[in-house]
Amino acid sequence: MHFQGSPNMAEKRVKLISSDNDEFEVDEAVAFESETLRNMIQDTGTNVPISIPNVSSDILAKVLEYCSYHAETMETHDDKPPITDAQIREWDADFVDVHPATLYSLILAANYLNIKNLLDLICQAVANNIRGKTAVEIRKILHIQDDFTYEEEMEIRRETKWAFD
Amino acid sequence: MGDNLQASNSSEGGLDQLPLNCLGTILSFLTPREVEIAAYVCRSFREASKWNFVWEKMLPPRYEQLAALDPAFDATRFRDLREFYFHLCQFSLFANSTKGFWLDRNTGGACLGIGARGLDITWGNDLRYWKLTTKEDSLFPEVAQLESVCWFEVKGEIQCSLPPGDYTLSWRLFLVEAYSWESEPVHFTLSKDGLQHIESKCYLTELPGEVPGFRVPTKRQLDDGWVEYDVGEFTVGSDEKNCAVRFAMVAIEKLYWKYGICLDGAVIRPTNLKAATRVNDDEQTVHEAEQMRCQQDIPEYC
Repeated sequence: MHFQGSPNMAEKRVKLISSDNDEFEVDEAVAFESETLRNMIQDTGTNVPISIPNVSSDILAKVLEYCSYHAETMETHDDKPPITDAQIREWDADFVDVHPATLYSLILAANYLNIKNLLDLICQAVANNIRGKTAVEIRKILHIQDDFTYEEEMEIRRETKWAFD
Repeated sequence: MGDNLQASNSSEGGLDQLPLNCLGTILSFLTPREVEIAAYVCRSFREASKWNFVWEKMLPPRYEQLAALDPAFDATRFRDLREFYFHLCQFSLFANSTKGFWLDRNTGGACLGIGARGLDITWGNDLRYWKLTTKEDSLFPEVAQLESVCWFEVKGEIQCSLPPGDYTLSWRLFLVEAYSWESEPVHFTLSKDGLQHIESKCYLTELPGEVPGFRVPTKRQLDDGWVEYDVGEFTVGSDEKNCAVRFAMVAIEKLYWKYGICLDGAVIRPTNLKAATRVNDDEQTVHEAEQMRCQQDIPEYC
């Protein structure tokens, strides 16, 4: 699979290998959106494929889609008008409009690859989903089990009782 | 994104399995109140909800300057930023107890108050007209009780370093014993740095109604008997380090005798605060706690 962040032929290409052994090739600028990849590339160069053992190919494809779009927004082209902030916001909103299980995997991938803007984007989407909800509703929405003991529950209620007024 | 955020399935685990810094990042996009509610979801949420990283986001920008207003303040005695946040939510007096500040607990919004002793009250030093006293449920330890006056004039000014945003200034009055105020309306003014000038007029008594040609301040009757008049808004820009807010309420045209109001002070709050809460009311919290102890079942709000 190839992602073309830029038509610039002088650009270095980077090979990435997902946990299920799919190979991806991207421009260096796209890989540099990830702090983790940037450090690896600066250490080992672009000749050796970089293996990403904990990100599957479908999630890696999504992450690289994000990185290549955002790398592109940084570039200026003489023949094209620059991408506006409003367009970026719209693109980002579409990007996080995915199945919740995908969001979960994307958070892990963005965290591991250290792509701060992507992590913030997804975390904000999750936050928007639980905003204004009660604890019971949040558990239901996120499929989380209540794992408190009775004593812990009482303690928290003492600590945070004002929030439930 | 759909409403059903089903992050959990057997192979992947739920959102509670995420690394704590990811959970913390999610929580940092919520309000302080929402963070405290999220702490009730499960153990990992609770742990994440205590992180300094989260509470750094809950504190308003430039909170250090606000905290520094209180000379007795010592940041080193707090275990973490959450504890620090809740300390700042308590009403603290400064400038010889003439002013006070606090954070709104639900939102982290910065609030300031200027008490009667910090205001310029004409004839205020003459015991025939005004006297300082105490009154139940006042924000400040001392309030100004009006005996009688013809020339009613109260002016205030505060130089402050508020976080960027829109603020509303309100006067806090107690009107239960007020009389002879129907002779003329009170004229309220507000300006920031000599700009953003706002005027409004109203009678402190219900009759004779509105004043033609003038904006009417929003009057709010609080549960404890005090009344607040929201007399106007002003905006603090993100590049403004300091601003000077000037405000006044006067009734000096007809010079009839006016009696019996009690003045607590003026309060500046973020405009978006919904409830006109006095400050974060701990008494109510204690009361709630008492109620909870009596309840056998888990209350519905959890």
